[in-house]
Amino acid sequence: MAEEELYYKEITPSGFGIAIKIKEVLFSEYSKYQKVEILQSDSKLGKILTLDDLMMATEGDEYFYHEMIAHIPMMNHPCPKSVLVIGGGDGGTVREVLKHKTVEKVVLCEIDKMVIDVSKKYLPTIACELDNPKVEIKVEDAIEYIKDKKDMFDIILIDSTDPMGPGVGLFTEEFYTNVMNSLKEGGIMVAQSESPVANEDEIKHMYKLLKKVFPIVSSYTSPIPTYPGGYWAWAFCSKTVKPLSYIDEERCAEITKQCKIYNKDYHMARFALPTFLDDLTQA
Amino acid sequence: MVDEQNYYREITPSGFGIAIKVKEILFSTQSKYQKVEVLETESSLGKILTLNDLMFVTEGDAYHYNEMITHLPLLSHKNPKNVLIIGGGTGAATKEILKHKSVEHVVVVDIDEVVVNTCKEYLPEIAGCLNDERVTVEITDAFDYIKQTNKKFDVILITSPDPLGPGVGEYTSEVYQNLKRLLNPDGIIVMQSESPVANEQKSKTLYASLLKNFEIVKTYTSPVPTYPGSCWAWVFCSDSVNPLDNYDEQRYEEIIKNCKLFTKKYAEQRLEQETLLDDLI
Repeated sequence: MAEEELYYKEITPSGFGIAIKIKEVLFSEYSKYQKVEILQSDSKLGKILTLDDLMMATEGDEYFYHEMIAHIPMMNHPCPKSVLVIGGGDGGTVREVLKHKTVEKVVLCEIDKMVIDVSKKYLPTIACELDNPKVEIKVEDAIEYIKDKKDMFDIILIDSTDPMGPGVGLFTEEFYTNVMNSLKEGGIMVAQSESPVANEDEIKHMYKLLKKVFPIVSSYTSPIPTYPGGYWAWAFCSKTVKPLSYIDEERCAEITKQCKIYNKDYHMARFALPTFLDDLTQA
Repeated sequence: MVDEQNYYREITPSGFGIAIKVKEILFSTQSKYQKVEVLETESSLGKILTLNDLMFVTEGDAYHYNEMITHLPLLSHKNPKNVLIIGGGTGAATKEILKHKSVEHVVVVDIDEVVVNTCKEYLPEIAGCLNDERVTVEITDAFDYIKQTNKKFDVILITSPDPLGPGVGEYTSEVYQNLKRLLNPDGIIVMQSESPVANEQKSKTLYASLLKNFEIVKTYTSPVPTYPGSCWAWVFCSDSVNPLDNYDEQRYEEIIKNCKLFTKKYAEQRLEQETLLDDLI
């Protein structure tokens, strides 16, 4: 929310969060699902996208999130060809996925067309691959979309909003079961799983559900300067694939050159959790 | 500063930072050196201490910073007995250091007595350890202290932003010479090196000068939720010891029991850099 003295502030249920100097509001409208805003910040973060007053992406630090959600599972798969991105209408995750030469098709299932359109217009460095011929955009509810997609995808990335608003149905046992069934043999699902220091309850709940569905559930973390609490966790889930069981060396070397965060050592270190988070996700 | 809507706000030169809901200002004074405030927040962070309107320590997340700056060097040292903390007036690092049974003496140097006394009064859970008999608090300028003392230390921690010069990255060769003079053989220095995200240029200058002065210079990072940019970096410096040398399982087990963050695996992997930081250093 851009207030009078022009600071965007986002405070978590824990009572603390982030503040960003704002120059102007470039776009602000209600879509069918949520409030969509683009703010021009007076900071090195550049333009920022918020949905229902929650930070989604900034031009300046989006790679912290997008590199982590995409490359950790993609590199753990010997040959990811078909990828489904759920949510992620800003296009950042799709852009990272397409750095993998093995990929033949990416389906982006985003419920809100306004997010896609606004991102293309205002955030071209993030949305730049959305017109790539390998990308198929489905403006649909992922809960419905996923129901009849048996054995279709090598990788599924849940790049959703927080477990409130339109994203809430993406945090249920039924949905996770359908996601698992949509994975091919050897497939991997990664879902964003909120901030370990600001959303303890949500994390606990989510991992409990995931463990009911997937035989293998692990968590990994990486810092994100503009997300509340400063760092973020993702859930790595699969029927058969353990995290770090495989890394494609050749692709890894190739993609590291195109990344600001990702490299092999950094990848290997992501699954060493601080003690308190280990407790939270094992509860 | 606390704004009209009762939020403590701290914005870095990069134009972004943190905001915290504040219930009340418990204490506010201008010491000889700086503005010292204690705020009661309406958040999981509890009480917070700010110096010149910059976040210094919170009850709720002090462990993120202090477990990382202390346990990695202490566990890398074969037998740390004497530890010097420069800028440690809150007691937060001392609290972690006293978890190590080998430690016999901790010298805390802080220029500002008001900080020490304020913490003892308002943040007793953090600062209470400053009354421990193994701890000596020296209220003096850190620069004078390192020039004049004849004590020797196994581990030196530089915990505050600019205790030894006008700013990080601007240590003089005199400072380096003195720090090295105070180190026992196989000694280790760890200094905080700011947020690699918010203060790129400062970090760069610091690493360049450290590499000229120490044989071994290794950076490690860990998130600190309430610091701007939230990803924080420390530098491990020594002429002979590498991070996590001298592994002693018993010592590890004992420390880890008492930590919220620190495990051996976590510590090892803190030393793996993201490409961004690798490029910077």
